[in-house]
This record gives sequence, C-alpha cells and structure tokens, in this order.
Amino acid sequence: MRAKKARDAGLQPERTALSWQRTALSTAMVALLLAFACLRGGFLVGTAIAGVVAVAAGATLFVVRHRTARNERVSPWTPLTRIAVLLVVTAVLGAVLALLILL
Amino acid sequence: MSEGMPHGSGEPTERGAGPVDQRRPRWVYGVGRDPDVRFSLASERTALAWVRTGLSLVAGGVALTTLASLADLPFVLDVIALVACLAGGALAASALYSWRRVERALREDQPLPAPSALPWLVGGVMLLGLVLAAYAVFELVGDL
Repeated sequence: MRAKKARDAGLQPERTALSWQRTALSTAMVALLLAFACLRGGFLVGTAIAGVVAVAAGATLFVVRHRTARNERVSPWTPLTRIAVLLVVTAVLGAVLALLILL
Repeated sequence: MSEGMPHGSGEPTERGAGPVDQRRPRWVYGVGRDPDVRFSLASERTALAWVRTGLSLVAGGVALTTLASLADLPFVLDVIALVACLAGGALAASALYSWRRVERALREDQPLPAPSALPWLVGGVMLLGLVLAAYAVFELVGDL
C-alpha cells in the first residue's frame, strides 16, 4: 500500500498535514485562552463553547491522524500523537479543575 | 516535468472515465484543469499560515484583555484587544478568500493575485506598535 504510492521528493502532503496540525493546535490553544478569559469574566457559556472548540480541535487532529495512519498501515501512536494527546488531556483536566473551583 | 507529476490522494488519476468532479467550491473547481498537486498543496499551506497569523492576533487580543482585567489596566488596552481580535477574524476570512482566488488562478494557468492582506497586516502591526509605544511614552510622562 505504502510502497505503491509514488513518493514526492518535496514531502508536500506531509508538510500540508503538519500545517493542518499546527493550525488545529493553535486553534485549541486560542480556545483554551478564551475559555480562561471567559471563566475569569464569569461568562460560563463562553467558557463551555471555547472548551468544546478546543476539544473538537484536538479530536479532529487525532481522528485525521488515525485515518491517515490506517491508510498507510502504520501505528498512529507516534511520539507526536502522544504529545498532542497528552496536551489535550492536560487541557481538559485543567478546564475541569477550573470549573470545579469556580462552582 | 510531466513525468514527475505526483498524484496525491488517488482521486485525480482517471479523468473522464471516473466519477463526475464534485469538489466544492464549484467557483474554484468548476474551471480550468488540475494543476500540479504540489502547487495546490503549497497554496493550501499558505492559507493555513494566514489562518495561524489570524489566530495569533486573536490570542494576543484575548491575552491583552485578560491582562487588562487582571491588572486593572486602562480602557485603551481593551479597545486594542478588540481591534486585534476583529482583525484576526478578518485575516482568517481573507485567507479563505485568497485561497479561492489563488487556486482558481492556478487552475486557469493565470498569474497569481497579489497577496492583498499583506499590506493591511503590515500596516496594522505597525499601527499597533506605534499606538502601544505612544501609550507607553504617555504613561512615562504622566508618571514623571
């Protein structure tokens, strides 16, 4: 499967995939920042929306990576994926903790 | 060059005999013919880089307004934060718009449109720097 596909010398698809990953991670980061700001302002609906956006960005990242890995018959659990999952889990934990303290 | 044309996710291998091209937006995919996928991928990355620039503007705005509320900073910083957030959103929208234009130009083998958001971004960042510097000077003079 993998060998059949002609390899692009410039690694263009990989670079584009990485670009998407950077964008998704930035989105998650901005959403978490926004969630924090909303939490401070007492605007809990905003916090919830921003939290959902952050989780959705992380989940999209993981699902896309998973699908690509399945198509290419490699393990999706690369170090990058592990770090990204760890980051998202930490973020969710932090958000839950913040909500617990607030409520 | 035509020998080295790589094909990406398998889709455009059989033209004509294959299924009807249903990719959206039709405004882009309805004209011309598929360019070298490397060019399309590069233009997609450019659009994503613009989106990230917009996102960092939004992040800066949110951080600034949070800081302003934490440290009880004056009103002008909130205005700057608002403008930064709106500019970030506008930049993301312009990324999509210019991606469409670039992809269409690539498909029609036309010259690429100029990066129209670039002067606005540069002007905005310069203005932001100047306003913040003026604000800092104003504060310093007020303290003395």
